[in-house]
Amino acid sequence: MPEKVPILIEFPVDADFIPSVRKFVSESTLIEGFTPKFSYRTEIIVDELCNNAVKYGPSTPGSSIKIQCDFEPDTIQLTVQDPGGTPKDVQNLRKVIGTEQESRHFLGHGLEIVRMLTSGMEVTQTPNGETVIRVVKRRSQNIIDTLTE
Amino acid sequence: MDISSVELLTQTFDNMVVQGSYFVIIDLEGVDFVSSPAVGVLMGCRRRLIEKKGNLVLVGLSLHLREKLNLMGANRIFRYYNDVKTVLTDYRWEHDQMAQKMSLQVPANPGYVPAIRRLLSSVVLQKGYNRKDAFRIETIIDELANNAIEHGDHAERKFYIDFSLDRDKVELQVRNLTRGLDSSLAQQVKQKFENPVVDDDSIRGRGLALVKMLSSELRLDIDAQGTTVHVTKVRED
Repeated sequence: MPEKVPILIEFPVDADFIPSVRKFVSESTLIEGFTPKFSYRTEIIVDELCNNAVKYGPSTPGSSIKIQCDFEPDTIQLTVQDPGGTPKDVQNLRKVIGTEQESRHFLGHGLEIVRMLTSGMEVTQTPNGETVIRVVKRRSQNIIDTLTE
Repeated sequence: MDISSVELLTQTFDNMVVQGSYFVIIDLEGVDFVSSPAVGVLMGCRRRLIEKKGNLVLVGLSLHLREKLNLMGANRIFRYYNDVKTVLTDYRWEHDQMAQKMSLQVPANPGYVPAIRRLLSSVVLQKGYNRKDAFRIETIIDELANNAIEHGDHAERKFYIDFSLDRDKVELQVRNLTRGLDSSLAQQVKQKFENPVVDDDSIRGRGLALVKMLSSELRLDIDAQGTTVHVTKVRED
């Protein structure tokens, strides 16, 4: 089976675009055969990551947020790239995301929800200084699904 | 922000107006009380700034402060923003007429067309265009996206949309990959685009005519890699 074509979205660092973009990504998951529950949770993830990108990213004209959605039969990988964040910010975020569950810091409500809804989360920085957050969501492998099944 | 700060506020505004600063952002993050005299001063200042074609907005209000100010009717006078960044973006949109751009790469799957329509129409609505304009833009993108999928190189399995909007117009480019289009076929396609003819007996072929009717400008470019349709739609309200 040929590899699925990823969806790429680039939009301004402007909160006005987020409701439309998150809805589009969530509809895409339905088109790709995921359930409405999966789709709704994907929307929450995109909303949180994009709002963080707008909040912490620069507001210089022309700056943009890039989202890539890679679909596999049972997973979606979401990558959100924004122009914000110093190397120290990225290091802090990486440290917090990567810490063992027992001793990790509270990320803030939004990122904690993202963590609960996904199977993996990582943050990196491009050579140009852009912050990249990558999350993987599987069809049914997260705390909330376990609790509600 | 109580009665003791009223005099300082007034003085600060007077200085700003003298210096020609007519757009003012009041950052109320961390402020949990604003007295009615202070609100009165802010309203007066806003009035003066409006006369100079400026404005005064409030940012960073807590829920508690927002409720208190709304009881005083401040929400009928002032626009509230979550943060300074949002104000600046809004300002550039309104006053600098800055164009904002989106781009998409989407699988060449007709199932995506309704979602793309909804994406672009909701963006223009969010940016203040009216429903009539949003519906027309949806109609245009529907036709162009379906054409891009139908006539693109199926081996590529994707197509591209670039979308730019400012206060006055929307510019749309829909591109697919159509390798191997020879020059005479390319010419035929271009001719059909520029002069769409509606055949009364045909069940198809009306889409391009409709797009041309709804657009302010329509242009087709064909190169060795692909076909790009350019549409400009001027805001009508």
